[in-house]
Amino acid sequence: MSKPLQEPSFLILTALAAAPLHGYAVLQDVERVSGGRVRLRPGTLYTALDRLTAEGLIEVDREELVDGRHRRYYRLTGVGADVLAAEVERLRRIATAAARNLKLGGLAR
Amino acid sequence: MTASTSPLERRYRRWLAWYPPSYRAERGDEIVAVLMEVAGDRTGDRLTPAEALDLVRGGLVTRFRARRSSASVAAWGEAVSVLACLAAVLLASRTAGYLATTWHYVRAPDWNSWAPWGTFAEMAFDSWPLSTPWLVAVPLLCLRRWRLASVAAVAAVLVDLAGVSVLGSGDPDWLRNVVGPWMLFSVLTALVLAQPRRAARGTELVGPRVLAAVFAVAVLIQGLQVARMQIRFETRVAAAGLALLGLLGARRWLVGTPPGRRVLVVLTTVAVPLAPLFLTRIVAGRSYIPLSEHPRGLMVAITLVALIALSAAVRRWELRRARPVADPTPSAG
Repeated sequence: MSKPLQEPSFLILTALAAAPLHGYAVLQDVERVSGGRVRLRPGTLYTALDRLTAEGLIEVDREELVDGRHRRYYRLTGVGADVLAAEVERLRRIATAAARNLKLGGLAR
Repeated sequence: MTASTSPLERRYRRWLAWYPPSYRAERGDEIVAVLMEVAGDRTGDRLTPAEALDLVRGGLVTRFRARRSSASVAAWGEAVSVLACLAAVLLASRTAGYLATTWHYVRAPDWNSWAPWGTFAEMAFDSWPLSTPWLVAVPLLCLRRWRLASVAAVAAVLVDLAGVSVLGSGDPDWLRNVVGPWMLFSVLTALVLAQPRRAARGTELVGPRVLAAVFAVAVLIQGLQVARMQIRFETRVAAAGLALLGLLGARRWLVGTPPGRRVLVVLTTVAVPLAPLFLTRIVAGRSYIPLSEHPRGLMVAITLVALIALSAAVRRWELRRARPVADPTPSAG
């Protein structure tokens, strides 16, 4: 069984699951998906991007120059998609179990 | 960076100095672009404490990661895998010698000569089960059955621990001088080969057929020693000659590749303090000298100094050969 993903890694993979994104777009999407709870800083983002690249979960899609600024787009690899899907399934099972227990305990709202 | 670079951007670039130069060259512009987009229309030309802390942390993590995943560290990992496979062969051939000695003793119990590796025949008779799983581990490596080989390597250590607890209590001298050093060697080898990934990489780098051939030759030499009843000068010369031939055969890999150079460093390091000891044995005509008579502290010191000095020399040589990376540290700001 693979190790559970850390939350920033999970959110970054989630952001890249829909389409390739550049660094700033990843930051915005992570904030949006987490409901504003997680706000990654650029240093943290690039540390995570490097680690995910080294693990083969993401890769560079393309590079662009926009308004004189360098942009590099990242995309999910096949392995990354599998890891994300496995993590989604793991979290879904936990959430289902939690909901069931709440229901059993008569605490569900 | 253009002439219209803002003071804030210049400050960001200065803080990026926490990252390794090669990383800044590749990713600096990209990170600065994101930093500037995050800053947006913020007034002021200073970083917030949180931004500064984030860049320092990111830079340090990247430096640490670059060092840890450097080619040199990876090469050392591969070298350790190769050495563990060769060590397993040595341990297995030694075990074969024990078994042959025991067999000889069972056939002729009055035989009381020094057996190979400085063990009385009676002791070999008593302790024949020790290390026997190594005899299984090496063929499994040659057959590319990595997981089973890992299990056998761990089993070898467990059998030794169980055997020593049963056999060693009555003879602390035997435990200290004969079993102890080999046991340590066995444990270190098993620690590496217990990881199937390392067992696989080591065997693939040596080549399963080459490993099988080395094993066959090592067992043959053990058999020769037992047949001659004791370790003789000519069997040692034959073993040394064959080892030298093996090194010459693998010289391209040993000198031409990073893991090969590290294997060579370790083998040389081990040979530096051991060679005079073996020469002393041959000259003195003694097949066995107790460990307590060895200058152990001096041997350890020589080994460590040789290992550090040779490793540093190889690393310097490799860095000189590699193309230097330009330092893109910004001049402005």
